[in-house]
Amino acid sequence: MAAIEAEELTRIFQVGGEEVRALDGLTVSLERGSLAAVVGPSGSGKSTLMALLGGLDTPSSGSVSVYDQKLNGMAPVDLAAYRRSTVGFVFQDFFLLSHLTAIENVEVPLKLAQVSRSERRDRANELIELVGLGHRGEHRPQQLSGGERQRVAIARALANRPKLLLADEPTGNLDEKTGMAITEILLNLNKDRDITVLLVTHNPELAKQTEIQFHLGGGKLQKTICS
Amino acid sequence: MNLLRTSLIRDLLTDVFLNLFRKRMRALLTMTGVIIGSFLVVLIFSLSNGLSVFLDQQIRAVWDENMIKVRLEKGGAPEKMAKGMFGGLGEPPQEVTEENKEEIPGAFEFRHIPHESIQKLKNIDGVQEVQPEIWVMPRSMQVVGDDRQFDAIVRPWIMAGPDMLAYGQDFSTSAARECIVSEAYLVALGYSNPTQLLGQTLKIRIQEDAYIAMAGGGQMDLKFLDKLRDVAYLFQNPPEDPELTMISAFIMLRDLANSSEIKALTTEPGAAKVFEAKVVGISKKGLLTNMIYLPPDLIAEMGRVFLRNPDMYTKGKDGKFGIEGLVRVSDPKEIPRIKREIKKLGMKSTTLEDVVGFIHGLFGALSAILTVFVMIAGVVAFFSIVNTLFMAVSERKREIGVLQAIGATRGYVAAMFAAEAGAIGLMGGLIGYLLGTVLCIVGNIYAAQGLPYIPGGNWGNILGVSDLFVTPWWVLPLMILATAFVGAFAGVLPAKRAAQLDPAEALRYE
Repeated sequence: MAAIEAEELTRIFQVGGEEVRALDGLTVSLERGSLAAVVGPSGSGKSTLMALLGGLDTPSSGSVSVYDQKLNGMAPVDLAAYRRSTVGFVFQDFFLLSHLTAIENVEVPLKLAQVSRSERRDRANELIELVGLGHRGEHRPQQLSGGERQRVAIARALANRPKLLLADEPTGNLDEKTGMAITEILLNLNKDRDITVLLVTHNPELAKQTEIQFHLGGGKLQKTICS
Repeated sequence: MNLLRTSLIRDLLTDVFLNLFRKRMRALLTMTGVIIGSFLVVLIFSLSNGLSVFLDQQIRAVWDENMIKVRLEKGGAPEKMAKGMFGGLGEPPQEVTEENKEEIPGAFEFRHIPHESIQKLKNIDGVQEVQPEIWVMPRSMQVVGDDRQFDAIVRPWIMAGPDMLAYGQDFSTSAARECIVSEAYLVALGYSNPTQLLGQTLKIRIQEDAYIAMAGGGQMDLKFLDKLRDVAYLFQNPPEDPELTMISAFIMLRDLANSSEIKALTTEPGAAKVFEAKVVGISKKGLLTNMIYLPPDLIAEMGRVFLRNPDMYTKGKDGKFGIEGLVRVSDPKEIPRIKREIKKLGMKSTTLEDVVGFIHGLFGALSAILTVFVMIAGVVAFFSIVNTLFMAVSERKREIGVLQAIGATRGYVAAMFAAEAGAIGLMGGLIGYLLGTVLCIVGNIYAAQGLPYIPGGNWGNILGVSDLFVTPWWVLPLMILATAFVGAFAGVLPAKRAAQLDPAEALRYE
């Protein structure tokens, strides 16, 4: 059963009156429960692919389905529901809300999913424990280290029990040791919770630990390595 | 589902206040326009309403709702004379016609209401009684057994009516030697309890005023001069028959001597006449603090002394009713019909509603003008909120992207910013309302205690019946609706801009 099916995916941007093909007829598929990485040089279309898979952007042509949900032509409100229920994001820059505590940050997606106050507090506590930050739950992002922030971001991404986790350079802003710890969390999530994990990374060490690596170049799939 | 929606709204509101608190100084500064606007609304409408209520009560002190003032269509309108004397008062010069020739200032003549007309007034269905309008200024009033004398104005009780009675009771008969005095006399006399004044006897001194007696012996009726001129003409051009001259002169001089004006001049001047009246009631405090109300017969008697004219307010051959009459009706609802019937009798009428309506209209117009200024404050506040919200959208672009990435709909993002704008408006409105209310309360306390910087002024005596600031009940709901609306409306464009942000682009925003 496929978690991701993208066919002839093309995304064209207009930059200064010129067409830029960020993705150019890309076709990929990924089985449910897989752990995969997207690698490639800057400008190869990695982040664009993530945005399209995550329903943050829509393709210029081609089609994309995630867990049997066809994202092309989906109404904005349905795309929002898709992002809320099916997919979780982890960003390189963490993107936590600075005025909220770690727990409150994890609660935001639950709030948007209209989960009751008591239930979301329980679930947020549980997730904060899961990422090993039980003692730091009441701290604000600026009081946390980079690694801790990324753990909070992972906990937030898991809040609504997504089927697919998209992590865009999750270790990009972290030192090697912290990066390894984060990598371990992500790998465990895939193993223990049966979540399909797709990583975008420049880090060959991180990529090596995944089952499948999609190598992108010039908006096209150059090669697929299964290990 | 409803429960879930309620929780979403509650969460949204919590977020709104958290977001405002993040930039609390900016939020407060943005609110300033709304605060000033709503503060002014409270102040303006409370003062205007308070003054309106206050004046309303003052007018009621001399104008019962059951009373209609009447006078003749012709020769009974002082304003027409005033118009001529002060040069037309903005209207072009009027043509003298057969109809209006007696209304021209040079020919103006006050006319007493004829007794037949008074009888006709009394015969109108629903009319209880008709009395002359009498205004007497006594030399002084004094409580028997107390040496102190106080100033006073004497008016017929029919003008104030039962609503103005604070303590005691109405007169026993129309001929009673009784009076009802203003509550302000309790303060002047140093009494703490109305019962100290009730039952006491007052001495009211009336002294005829030489000028009023000359000019107004018959209330500006100077026909005796015609009679004097006739006598002069007789002696300048005497008939040939000396006997006829003698007889004519005798008749003319007798007429002259019997004219009310000459009678007024020949009564013994100087000594004040003292009238005694028992205090049976105490009227509510008002702007007119030195009021003494009397029954019809007693005040007519005083009026005759005051004007040095024994024919005033009497029936009989030379009896003059006065130029204005006070008609008391049994039911105020009947007033429109009674007014129509009065008009048929060739008389004009004025009611409490006419006078109060005029004052309310005046304050309404004043409020409308001031409301324009408030609306200008509202417009300034509106643009201030728009500006703040656009800044917020711009600053929180990436945050909007993050929220969208984790599942916020465009509607949620738009609602968040619109609610922030509405909250700025609403909170500003409520703060302004509170500040305005506090100022009104302080103002009322000061007004009731007296204003020390007005020499001799003690507003407490005057304002005993009403507050200076009376906030109408509808100001608070109006304020809540208007400020929330101004805020939310100001938030529409920024909210729309926030909702239309492309999430992928917003996330790339630095």
